[in-house]
Amino acid sequence: MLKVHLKKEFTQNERVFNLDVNFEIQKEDGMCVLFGSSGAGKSLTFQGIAGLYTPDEGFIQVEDTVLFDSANKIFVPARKRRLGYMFQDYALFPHLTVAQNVAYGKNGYFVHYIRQELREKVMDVLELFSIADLAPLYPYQISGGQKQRVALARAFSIDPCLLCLDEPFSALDPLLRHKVRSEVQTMLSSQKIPSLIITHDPEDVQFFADTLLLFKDGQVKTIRNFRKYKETGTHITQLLLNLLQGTDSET
Amino acid sequence: MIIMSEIWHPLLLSLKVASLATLFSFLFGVYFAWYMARRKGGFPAILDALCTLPLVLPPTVLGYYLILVVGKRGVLGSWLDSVGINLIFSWQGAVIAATIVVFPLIYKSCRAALEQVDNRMENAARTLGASEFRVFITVSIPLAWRGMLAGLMLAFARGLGEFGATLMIAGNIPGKTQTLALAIYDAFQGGNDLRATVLVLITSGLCIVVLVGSEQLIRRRVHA
Repeated sequence: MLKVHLKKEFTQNERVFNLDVNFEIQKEDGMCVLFGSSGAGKSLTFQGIAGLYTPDEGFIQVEDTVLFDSANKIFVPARKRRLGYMFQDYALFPHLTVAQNVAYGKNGYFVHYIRQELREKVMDVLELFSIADLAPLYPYQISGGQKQRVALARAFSIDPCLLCLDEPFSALDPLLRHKVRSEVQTMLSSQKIPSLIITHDPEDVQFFADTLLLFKDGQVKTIRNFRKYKETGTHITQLLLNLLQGTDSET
Repeated sequence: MIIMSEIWHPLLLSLKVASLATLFSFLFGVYFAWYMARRKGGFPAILDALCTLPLVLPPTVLGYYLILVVGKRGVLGSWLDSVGINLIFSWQGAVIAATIVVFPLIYKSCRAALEQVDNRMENAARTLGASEFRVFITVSIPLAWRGMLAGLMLAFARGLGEFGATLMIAGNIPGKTQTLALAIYDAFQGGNDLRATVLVLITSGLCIVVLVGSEQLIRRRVHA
């Protein structure tokens, strides 16, 4: 269903970072969580899948569509990939209202104007996320939890073939986080869109992960079925620590 | 004794020349800024230096280059002459001179403003299906317009006072190509101190108004 092989050397402030990720996910793997410490290459992996940079070499396939293939010189530009990308801290357009933000993906050059048939579609999406009453407000007028929903609604609005959520809960305060998690969970399972979630919060892993992809130093170290931990409620913080240090022998 | 038209004419001409020069420079400046904000390395670095050059070159040098290009025997000028257009000693010539002189101010401020736009916003627009041009029009410019406008106003103020390059290209023909700065020089040379003083005060006042406005724009922050 999703095949990712990405290789790229990044240089920033004379520091070299090598991204070399390689993984494959099937439908039955369910919700996939990308876990690892900051700077392990999780966000760069998302950006690569989304086509926001050109990898040195690699291959990306979603369902039956090849998005990138360095061997055959295929590079589908970001705008044609139909990826529901939710950015860390949301990246809502500050100059557009909630409705205009959600309409953006299907709107034209006059982003302040939403034509009638699009307006109906946008209102449907807003209602789905119970934020219809926020439609005329600007991002600076709404709360963190509301921004989070708007960002998710905007990612949904383009009928994505894959959802990539980059730290969807990190900007929320802990109590709200708990509540929003279950809302997002309900939403994702009702829409049946394959989803990847980036996090470095073990609680997110516990809550969402059917499959865990462990990132370290720009690579995917392990891919594991995590369903049993989700179901039994086993406390996983220690397990994650062990996995990161590579001292876990359990298979 | 001041004749009113001796005040009005240079003032209106200067406003006209500065407005048109700012407009033309803006169109080119925004395009170059957009192009350069996403590129690094050899050729773009040279292009960047070329775009900034009018800021440091003496206006007379710019005027000289311009005559080489649009003068009667110039590269472009000889062709223009054959179709009956002569830019030398015309107010249109003054517009060209001012356009070149104010270009770096617009280019630099547009580029700085565009580079300050949060890259994630532009990336979000891309993943939502927007083409590079649509990203630019609907996200980059709306988020950068404050800085751009401040640059425009600075350029306008600079255009109002343009002297050197204008003198070389358009000359100093009262009632035709004599702008504020030229009229001041002319009045001073001719011993008409009253006229010079009035023109100096008008020019200073205009520039102060424009600069205060531009400063206000830069200071006020956009809500995040």
